[in-house]
Amino acid sequence: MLRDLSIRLRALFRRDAVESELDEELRYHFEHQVEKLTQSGLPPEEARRRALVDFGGTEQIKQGCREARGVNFVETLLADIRYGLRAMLRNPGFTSVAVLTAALGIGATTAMFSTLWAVALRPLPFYRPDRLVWIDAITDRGQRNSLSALDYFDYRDSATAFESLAARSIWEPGKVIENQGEPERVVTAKVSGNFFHTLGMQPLYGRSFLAAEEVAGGPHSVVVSYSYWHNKLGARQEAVGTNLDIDDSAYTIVGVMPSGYDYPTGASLWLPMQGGGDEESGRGNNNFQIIGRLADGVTLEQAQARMNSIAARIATQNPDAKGGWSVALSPLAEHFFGKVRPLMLMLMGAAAFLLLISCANLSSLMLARVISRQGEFALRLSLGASTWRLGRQLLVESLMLTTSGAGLGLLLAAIGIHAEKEFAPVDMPQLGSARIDGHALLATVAATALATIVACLAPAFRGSSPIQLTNLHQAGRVTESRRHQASRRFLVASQIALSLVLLVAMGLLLRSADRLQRADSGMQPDHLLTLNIQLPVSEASPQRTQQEYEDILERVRALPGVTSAAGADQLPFFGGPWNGVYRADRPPQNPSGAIPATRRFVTEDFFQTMGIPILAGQGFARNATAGSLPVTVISRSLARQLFPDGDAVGKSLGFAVPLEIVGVAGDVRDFGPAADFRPAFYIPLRQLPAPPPSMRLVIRSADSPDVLVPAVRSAIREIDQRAPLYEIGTMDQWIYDSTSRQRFTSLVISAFAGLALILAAVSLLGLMSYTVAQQMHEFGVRMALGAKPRDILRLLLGRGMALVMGGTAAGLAAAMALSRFLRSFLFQISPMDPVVFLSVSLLLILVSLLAIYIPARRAMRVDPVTALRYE
Amino acid sequence: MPKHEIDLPQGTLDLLILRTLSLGALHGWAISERIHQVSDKVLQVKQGSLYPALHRMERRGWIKAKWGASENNRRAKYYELTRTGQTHLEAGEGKWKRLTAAVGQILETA
Repeated sequence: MLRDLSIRLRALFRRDAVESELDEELRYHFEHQVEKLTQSGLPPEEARRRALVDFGGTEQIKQGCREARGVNFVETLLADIRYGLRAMLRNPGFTSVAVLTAALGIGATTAMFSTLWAVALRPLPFYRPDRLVWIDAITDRGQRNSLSALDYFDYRDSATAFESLAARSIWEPGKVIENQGEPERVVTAKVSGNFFHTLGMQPLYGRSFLAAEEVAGGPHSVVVSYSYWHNKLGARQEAVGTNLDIDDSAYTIVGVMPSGYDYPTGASLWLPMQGGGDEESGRGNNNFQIIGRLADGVTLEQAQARMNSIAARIATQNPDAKGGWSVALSPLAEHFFGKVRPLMLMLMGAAAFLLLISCANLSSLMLARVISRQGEFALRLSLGASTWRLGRQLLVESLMLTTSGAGLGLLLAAIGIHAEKEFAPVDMPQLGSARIDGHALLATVAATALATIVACLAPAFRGSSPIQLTNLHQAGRVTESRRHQASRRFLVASQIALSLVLLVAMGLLLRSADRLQRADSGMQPDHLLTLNIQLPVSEASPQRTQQEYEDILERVRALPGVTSAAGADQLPFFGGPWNGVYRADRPPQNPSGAIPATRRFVTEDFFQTMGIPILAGQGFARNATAGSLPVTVISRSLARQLFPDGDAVGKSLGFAVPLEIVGVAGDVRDFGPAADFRPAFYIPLRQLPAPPPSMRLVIRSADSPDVLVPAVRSAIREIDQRAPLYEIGTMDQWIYDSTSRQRFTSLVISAFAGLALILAAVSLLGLMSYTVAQQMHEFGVRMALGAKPRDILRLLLGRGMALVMGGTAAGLAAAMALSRFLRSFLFQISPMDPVVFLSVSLLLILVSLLAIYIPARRAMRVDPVTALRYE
Repeated sequence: MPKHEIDLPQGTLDLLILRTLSLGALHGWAISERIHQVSDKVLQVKQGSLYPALHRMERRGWIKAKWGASENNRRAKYYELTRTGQTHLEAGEGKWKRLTAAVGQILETA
């Protein structure tokens, strides 16, 4: 077999040597034969002649030998490729259009697939991620919630369905780290000791936590993330064992995690749960989330069932905090990707549409080419070529076009992915890892194959089917059969239909994004600067810290350019803790009777600074202190729910202590323009016994808020040098960021829709140009018989628009059927929004009219005599 | 000269070539001459069949080729039998004998 291969290879690559050898061999035989005949008495010329006759055709013998050498297939394939290349270069217009079309479809598919992979399909970086489960608590109202540390301990001790259960804090306490004198705030997570082990994360250096470190009063240990170790610790292995000053205590670094394991996202440090402290005590302090690794052989359903019984037990034993609560298990991957997957699949679908359109374009182009080569094919058939050989020629040419398109498409995809990252939504950090890798190439190959098959299909059906020899007579005159014409018209109409679907999607998303932008947030977000400041709370005198905050606010208010300044523990758009509240005069029987409302501790001028209207009552008085009557301001929706018939002002709100309602404020959205208005209640900061761990300042500026940042910073520094400041930004910026996903989606879909429209228009233009050229003769006759250019135009418009209308109708029907899948991405817009449907259809028709008009002008301008002579 | 053109099936030609070469290396012309002589001038192998067959068998590894000086001192391509070829020759001879015996039996008794 090796000899076989070496002979074949030699025949392929040293063709000249092999050919001349064959020549020599045959010539030797011939000469020998001549000699023999001469020796037997014939005269030399006669001998030669006889030998020639005997020999037969040299070329046939050579061909027989070539075939026996077994490289015939490859040689003819190479010939096909060379021929195809020449044909491509001879028609640069056709080639460039075809390659570009293929590039657009294949490139879009590749880019989208690699994005999809990075964001929604990639397996999680943990050990056997399919065995990992995410556990949510379900409140008695049926909402998802986190759990308390005590719940976790109960589950951990009783659950047999899991190999291990780990917990991680949700409320990410930012710790202050002293790093060479400059305090910085670092995101940390508190985790159970088996957290890393459960996920299957091996430390890069050092170890994870020991059992001794999980005990209250145990040694202070910390595990650092790769990025923290790389950026702040100099990426030295010796960092393990050194100390970090966290919140004024020394913690020893016991391990470093490898890169890619920042879970939860952004956590720089992990601390062990130590059983003490506020976070970990109390059934009602639901600060943790649980992840579990299923035991071998246990299914999710079985684990769910067993966890349900433990949850029931906890509920019975703790009716106040957990009465009526249960748990829900879901695969971890779904928790990671579940929110993003629908979006990515929708975008992938749009890319597939674009691919189909470009395939249709290719098919139409190839069909036109084949029609114009009918004469050539007929000739080759008559010379003895097989239809298989002709078909193979077409296949090779299509393949060459699509692979060139794929090459260009990869380049376009790389550019597209790069552009994507610029506009990436802030809540999709995984987008950063999208790139052209093996999976993306898989998509490229699949798309190329599809394009090639579709491009060949239509022409192959017509091109190499038995073509009668009568076509030879028409070799000069290119005519198109009825069937060819119908196929091309169908292709163009389907392109128009597909483009319309994409355009409808684009219209709906753009309109939705616009609505989102203009949605009423309940406050006046312009000219607002916000920042978060964390003053170390000294246990000895909390009033001192309280005073410090007030001093800071006073200084900031005195700055030039500042209209007003206020403080709150949490701001709208950043969420916030909630409590169950009720009417103080009608306390509920069980916890489900209380209404969950967002709770905010604010300074008195909070509403004024934020631009939240006070709709009733006076609001907070300036002189409220810790000793005076506890008061609250409630939001309008809370007032409506608790006091539907009367005035809320003057009544009492049931909370930890009864609060007198002194005002009703307008509703504010909690989580961004798309979220609902949640009921909320506000309590003056001054009435708290101790200040919150961190405070958000809101500063309304007369001009641009960014300008104030340095001045504010130095004002704060005058009071406290060490307090870290973070999350500094304008309110407008946060709102903008919260809608980044919608913007991203609209951009991508708009790009696809635009490309689709261009492709469809180009295709229509091509078809109409062709039609015009075909029918020049007919136009000449008409004009000679008295028709005006106007009439020719009308004729062409009629033919073209019939096609366009058909495509538009089909597209509208498809769009109406499919747009309901967009519902979850739309804000205040119905998937059947008539404005969008109408305007998009109008756009399409206008573009089509232009595509028809351009070639039609040529027909109108020609003079009848030339047209009559047109062949 | 009288020409009796009998069409040989492809496998048979291979067999004849192999047998001819089993007695020693020969070039193409000599192979066809030998077959012609040994078959009492009945079989005349055409070049159009001979050379493709030789090339095919070379590719399959049954014979191998070498350029050398011929009897009239010119360069010629010599073919010789390989071990694989020898195996194939023996197997082919066996098959041929069985085939002809069977066919002969039917022709005699019918």
